[in-house]
Amino acid sequence: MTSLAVPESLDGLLSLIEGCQDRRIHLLAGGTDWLIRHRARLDDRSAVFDLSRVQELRGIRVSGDALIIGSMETMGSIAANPDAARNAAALCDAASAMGSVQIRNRATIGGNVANASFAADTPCALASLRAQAVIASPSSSRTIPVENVPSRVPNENSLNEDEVIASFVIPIKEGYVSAFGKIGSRSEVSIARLNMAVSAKYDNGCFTDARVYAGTLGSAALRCEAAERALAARGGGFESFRTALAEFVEAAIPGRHSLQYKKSAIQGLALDVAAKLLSRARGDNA
Amino acid sequence: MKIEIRINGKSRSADVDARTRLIDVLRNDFRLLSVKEGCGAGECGACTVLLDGMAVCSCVTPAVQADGRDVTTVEGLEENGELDVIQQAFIDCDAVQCGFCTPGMIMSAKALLLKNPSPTRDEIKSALAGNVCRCTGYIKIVDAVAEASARMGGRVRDDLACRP
Repeated sequence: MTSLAVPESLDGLLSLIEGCQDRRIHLLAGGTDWLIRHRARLDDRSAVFDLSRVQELRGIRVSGDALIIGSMETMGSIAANPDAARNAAALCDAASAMGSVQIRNRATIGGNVANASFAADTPCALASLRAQAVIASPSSSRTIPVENVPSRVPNENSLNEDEVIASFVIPIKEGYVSAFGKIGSRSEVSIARLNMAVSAKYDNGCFTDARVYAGTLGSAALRCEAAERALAARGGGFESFRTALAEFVEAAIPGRHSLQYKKSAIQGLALDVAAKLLSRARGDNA
Repeated sequence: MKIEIRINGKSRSADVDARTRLIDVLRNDFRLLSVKEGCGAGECGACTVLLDGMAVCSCVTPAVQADGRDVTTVEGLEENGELDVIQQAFIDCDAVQCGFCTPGMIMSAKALLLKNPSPTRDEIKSALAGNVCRCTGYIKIVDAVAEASARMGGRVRDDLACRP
């Protein structure tokens, strides 16, 4: 029979996980994807652990030179958090652009990353912000770059079955700004056809040390180093930046039916994201 | 597993397992049939209810996560035999066509007005973006929410055609 447990601490969760080596472990976060994907497939070997009461997986706080976000924080709570807005604007953009109000009230950042959808919004933003995922398991804990969580298989992550994403650690870097944008079939409540996030240091009119990630072009968000170089080398505009991204799309999805659309669309998206980045760098808005 | 939920102000208990969704408990155990199952995937919003005052899709909310929390459905809006101001505004503005999406629309509107009693039209549209009306009666639905907001604030709007 499928079991269901509701631990209230991380230690409690990990000891429960340790005790069920012969079971198929399911970690239930907000449930918005999990119920659709797994509800009908549970069997007698399934052991479901509801993470919603585990206190250590909650919280958004600044600690030293890092922003720490618990994996069970929702899109809505992240989008509304002032520390996140100040230190991880691209993530707030992504969290507020994801799904509907109803979904943002339930969907968690840990679930969004672990779900490993190639079109997910927050992993792209987190990667641009150089976020690390803190992974806990009964035997050890480890920290990995967030872009290493998805596996090469679409919609599957690279974590071991007994591992839990506990939190995300985003370095706070003085003088850095970030932005995220997406294109979907609707202006709201749409799955990204393209998404993109940028973080960079802004100094005296120049963007340096940039990280540019684009989603929906592979099994996970991909880093575009040519666009990072173009951003640093830009003169007054962003022409080389958008050209670099268009060439990146061409190389990432050769022969795919959506190539021409995405090659064109990413150039518009690049300009939108760059404009938002520049506006934030100049302090036009928070 | 037994859970305790406060539904429309009354404490109720239910037996749930890992497969049980909040909508299953509301419809099957407590016969709260205003909660509609449309897509079953969190896309259409017909199953929207309030969980601790926040709009959620009950079709993608695990029932176990409602343990110890407050749930409000349309059945819980009426007080002393009087409709909630949002319900009355939907009637007065002719914002109901086939009616299937209406409970979800009303609950999304309720969540919005609890948080933001005087929303702009764009804010109303954004709050209702997760609710699909297949009759496509969106203009009157947005009108109704604006009207409810105005009535709550004691204001009179001249820009709506739906005043009774």
